[in-house]
Amino acid sequence: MLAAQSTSSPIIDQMAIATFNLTKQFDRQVAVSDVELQVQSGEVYGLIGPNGAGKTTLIRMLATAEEPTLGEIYIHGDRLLRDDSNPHLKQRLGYLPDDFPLYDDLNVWDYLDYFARLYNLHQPRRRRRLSEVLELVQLTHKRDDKIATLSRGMKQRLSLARTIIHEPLLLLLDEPVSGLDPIARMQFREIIKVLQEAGMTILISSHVLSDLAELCSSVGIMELGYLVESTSLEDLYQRLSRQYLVVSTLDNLDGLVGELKQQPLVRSWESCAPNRLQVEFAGTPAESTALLKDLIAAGIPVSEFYGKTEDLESIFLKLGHQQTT
Amino acid sequence: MVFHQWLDRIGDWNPQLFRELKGRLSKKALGLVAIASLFTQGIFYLSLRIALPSAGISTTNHYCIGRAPADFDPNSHLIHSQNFCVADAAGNLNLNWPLWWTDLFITLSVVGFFVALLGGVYLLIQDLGKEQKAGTLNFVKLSPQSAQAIAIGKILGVPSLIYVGLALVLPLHFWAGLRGGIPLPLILLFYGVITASYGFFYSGAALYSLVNPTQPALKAWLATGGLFYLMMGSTTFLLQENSHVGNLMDGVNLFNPLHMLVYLGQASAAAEQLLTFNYDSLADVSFFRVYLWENGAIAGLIYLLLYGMGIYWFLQAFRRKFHYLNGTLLSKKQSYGLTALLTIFGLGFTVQSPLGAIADHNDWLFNFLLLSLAGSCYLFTLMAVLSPSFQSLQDWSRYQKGEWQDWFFGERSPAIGAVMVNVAIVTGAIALAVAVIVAPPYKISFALGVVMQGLMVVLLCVVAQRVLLKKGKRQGIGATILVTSGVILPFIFLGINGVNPELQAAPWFWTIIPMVATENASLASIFLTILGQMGAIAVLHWVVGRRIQQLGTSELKQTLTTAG
Repeated sequence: MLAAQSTSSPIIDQMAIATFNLTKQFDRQVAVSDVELQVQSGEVYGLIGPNGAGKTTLIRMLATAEEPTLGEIYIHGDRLLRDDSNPHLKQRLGYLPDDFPLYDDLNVWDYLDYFARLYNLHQPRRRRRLSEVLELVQLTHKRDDKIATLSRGMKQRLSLARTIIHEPLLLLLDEPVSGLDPIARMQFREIIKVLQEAGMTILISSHVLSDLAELCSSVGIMELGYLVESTSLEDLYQRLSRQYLVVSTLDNLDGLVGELKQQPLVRSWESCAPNRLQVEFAGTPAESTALLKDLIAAGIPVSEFYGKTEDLESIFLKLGHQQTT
Repeated sequence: MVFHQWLDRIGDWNPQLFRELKGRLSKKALGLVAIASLFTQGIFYLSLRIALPSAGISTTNHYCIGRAPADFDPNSHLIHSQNFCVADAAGNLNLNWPLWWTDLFITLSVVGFFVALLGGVYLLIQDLGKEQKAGTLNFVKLSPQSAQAIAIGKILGVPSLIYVGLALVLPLHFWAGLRGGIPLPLILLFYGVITASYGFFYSGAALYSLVNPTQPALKAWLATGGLFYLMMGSTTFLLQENSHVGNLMDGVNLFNPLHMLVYLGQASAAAEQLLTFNYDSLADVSFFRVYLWENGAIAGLIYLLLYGMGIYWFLQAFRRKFHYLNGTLLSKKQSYGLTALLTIFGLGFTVQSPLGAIADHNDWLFNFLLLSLAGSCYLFTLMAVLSPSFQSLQDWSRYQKGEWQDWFFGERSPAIGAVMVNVAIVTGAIALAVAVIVAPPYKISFALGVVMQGLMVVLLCVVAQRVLLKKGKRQGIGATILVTSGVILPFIFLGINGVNPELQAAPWFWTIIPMVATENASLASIFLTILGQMGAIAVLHWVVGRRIQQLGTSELKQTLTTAG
């Protein structure tokens, strides 16, 4: 089966990432089990799952930092191997691990210059690219500073700059925002959006699901080494996310609850604040407007009424997974 | 500005070299190295200047070239290496300047060689170990650069300050050589050989740093210390009158490039008066009885070939280890090539004409014993080199086991199959050479001894293989202790009990040198022992096979078995 797939099939060619039977075993522990991951070009693919689910091992294998026990990896249709027999493939990959050792004896510019050279960037393109990435990661003013003097957030952004210096087609980011403060996280998110617009395929693992919900076009859920779900975010919401109505009243909730009981499209409700209910409603937007009219007609002092979709974290928890946030 | 342009161009050729130079060649470091280099050569220059005689004070000196004065008692004689000092009409002493310059050339050569060799090896192991430990090398590994390019960048860049120091000594060194009357082509060849030797030792150091990369500082000190003693021993040996021993040790000794100084000294204008590197017994060294070391130019080219081959093998292993840190240094297929090459190398120096006054069979037997012992040590090392990690063995037993070829060519399969092939290559070649060369009364018994030795190596390796298949982190150490005990303990036991191999041969058959006892043993007992050894190997191999089978079973089956 693998042999048939390994010949350049159209599916493999179209995919930025295609893995077959990908398995990694540490001693008796199967860290990644039989993963068949397919990520299309230009996608931002979010990988979620509890600690120890195998996300980091999967990303490390995709980045050639780890050797699979079994299985094959194809990047844009080409078989990925760990030795130096495929430099053109490595040229297409950018990998940012969750730890980021740097050379403290070099300054920011020299560090990036070194990696630009490792990725065969020549002048004048190299100088231009260095300036571009420094601007993108907002470190232009630090270009002559020693790396040892940078803050954690700056070092993380410098690592990202190193990862994208050669304009990879596929970017693999493992927990890129862990340990960053909210502002640094926001800056990082903005950079990812710019890279996405530039056409990079990005695979990102994170525990911060709100970030992924904002950035990703598809997600994969890993558990105990298995890829248990891999789909577009849109499809995931459509299949698993329930629509809610948030209704607040100036009065106590009894009147509101009494009126809701009369409504056939209302499935259930729960209190989410002293005077607010989260209502599971099976109707269309037009029917929810009709509901609002009914409530007002019944004399309920409605102060808030809006629709809400269940977020990624709720869906994740609903699927029976536990996510560290 | 020029420096930066130069650096930029280097960076386009080899980014790793660029990074190393950028981090090291600061103005301060360059200034310090320049001062240290000039100061050191100044010290050596002045110390040799002080050794020159003073007009009117010295009557004899090593560097004088005068005849004995008329009043000199013909019955007395000067101490070794001293000559009479005679002044000319102007009162200046006639001095043997070529000798003085050659001495300076040799002194600077030896000191410079040792400083650069040990300093470079230390820095490389320490630097690569540090990068491994910090994890910075991982990003370099992910780049499209080849492992060789990174190794070359490291080798040229990490000891760069040492190279600068050497470059500053070079003008004086070169000038000393020319003034000493050493032919220019030979000086250039010497530089070529020394450079190649640095390539050889440095690529070995780079490889060593990747093997089990823990405690880089300790590893660096161990390697540098070991190399220092080895090279000092070898250099001291080269200075001996009888540095040619007519066996494998000649070949080992030839890895010291300072050997070239013998040819340079002989070609100098002061060849007769030189006190060091003045023996030409190495001209008697032969390789398969071809006398290749009679001529400096040919010897130099052989050095270049030897170091070139060494660098090739080191870089091959570096390439594998660089990308697969948990992988083996050599593939099984590569090991067969290396073993064949080293066997030819060892045999070439073993089958030189026997030396010394007693040119009978004893020399041959000793030479072959030395070769086969060295071969056994190499094969034990190969067992360690070819053994994949426990994880790889487990993966192989579970997912890939099946084809018989895998035992001899597979990447993750146990080493024992490949070790058997390598033992066959070494043992077969040595036994064949013994059968051809050694005199008839000894050839059969000795050749059978070599075969028994090969079987003992396999036996110990199978035991080691079983240990390596046990779960745990320190099985490598356990296997090493076991093999070492298997080699040494029988000797201690036989020694304490006074077992004479000529009277009681059988116990000696189970040591690593059974050939010392085969001469006086009956053919029947030899063949019975061989059968016994083969039987023991078969049983142990079956045990190994069963363990592999067990490793390959699924967790469920194992759990059920355990529960049952």
